[in-house]
Amino acid sequence: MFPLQPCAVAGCDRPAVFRLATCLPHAGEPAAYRRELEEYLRSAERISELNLDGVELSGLDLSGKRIRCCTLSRARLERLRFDGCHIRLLYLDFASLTECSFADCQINCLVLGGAELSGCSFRAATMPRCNFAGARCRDLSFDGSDLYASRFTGASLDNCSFRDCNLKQVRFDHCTLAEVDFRASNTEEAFFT
Amino acid sequence: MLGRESARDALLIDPGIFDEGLLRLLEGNGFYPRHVLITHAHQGHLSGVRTLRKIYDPALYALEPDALEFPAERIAEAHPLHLAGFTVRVIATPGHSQDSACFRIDRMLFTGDTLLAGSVGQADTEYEKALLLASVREKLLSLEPGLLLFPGHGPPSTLEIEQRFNPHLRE
Repeated sequence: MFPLQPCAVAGCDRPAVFRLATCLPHAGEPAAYRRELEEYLRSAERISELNLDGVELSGLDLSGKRIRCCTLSRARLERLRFDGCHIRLLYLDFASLTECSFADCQINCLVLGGAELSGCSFRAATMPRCNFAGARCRDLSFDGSDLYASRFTGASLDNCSFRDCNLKQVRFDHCTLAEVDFRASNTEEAFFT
Repeated sequence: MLGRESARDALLIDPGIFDEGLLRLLEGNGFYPRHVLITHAHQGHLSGVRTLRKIYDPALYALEPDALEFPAERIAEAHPLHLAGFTVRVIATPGHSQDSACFRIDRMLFTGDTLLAGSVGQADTEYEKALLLASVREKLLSLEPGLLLFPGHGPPSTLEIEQRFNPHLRE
C-alpha cells in the first residue's frame, strides 16, 4: 500500500517522498531531486507505491506505463502524457494539471478532488469511480470515455466536453456548468441536482 | 486487502464479495486472510465471508458480533487492534446503523457506509441522520485532513476533500 515513512525533520507531520528521508519542502536540493525522479519515472515500466506529494513535473511522456497506489497530492504537472496507461488508485487531490493527457487510459480510482485542471484530455478513457469533487475544470475533453460511478460533486466545469460518454451513476451534484457538451451521452442515468 | 510485503498474513475489510479477483489477489501475492474487519452488519459488506470461511479460517472483528451470522470478536474504541502488522484504531460511528464503525490504519481511513465521497450513508429516520452527522463531524472531521478515505461504496477520497466539498457536511 502507500509508503508511510514520516519526514525525518522533527515536528513535520508530512510523509517522506520517494527516495528521500524528508518531505519535499524539507528536501535539500529540489532541482537535483526532480532530475533524478524524472529519470526514474521515464525508465520504470511499473510505477507503484510512491509518495510524490507536491512534486513539479513537466514534459514527461509516461504513456503505456502501469501506475498503482501512488500519491501526487498538490503536485504541479504540465504537459505530461499518460496515454494508454493502466492506473489503479492515484491521488492527485489539490494538484494542478495543465495540458496533461490521459487518452485511452484504463483508470480505476483516480482522486482529483480540489484539483485545478486546464486543457487536459481523458478521451476514450475507461475511468470508473473517479473523484473530481470540487475540481476546477477548464477546457477538458472526456469524449468517448466511460465514467461509471465517478463524482463531480461541487466541481466547476467550463468548456468541457462529455460527448458519447457512459455517465451511468455519475454525480454532478452542486456543479457549476458552463459550455458543457453532453451530446450522445446517457445523461438520464447521471444525477444533476 | 492490506498486507505487508514482509509478512504472509493479510487483513480484509468488508469482503462484500469473494470472487476470483480477490482469490487471485490473495493467492497471487502469497497472502493468507488471517483477519476480517466488518464496518457494519449489512449484507453488502459481509456476503463474501461465507465463501471466505470455506477456504480459510479468518478471525472476524465487529462492534456488535451478535448482529452477524458468524462468530466474531467484539471490538471497542478504547482498544486498538494489532493485526497483520497494522495498528487498527476503531472509531464507533452510529447512524447508518447502530453497529457502524470506521477503521483508521496508518494514513488510511476505512469508512464503510458512514462517510462516502461527496455524500454520507443512508439513515432511515431523522434521528439516525442526526446521529450519523454528529458521528462524522465529531469523530471523523476532527482527524488530520490528509487522511486517505476508502468508503464502502464509490470512489476513494481524502478527509480534506470531504471537509471542503461534501454538501452533506455543510452547516
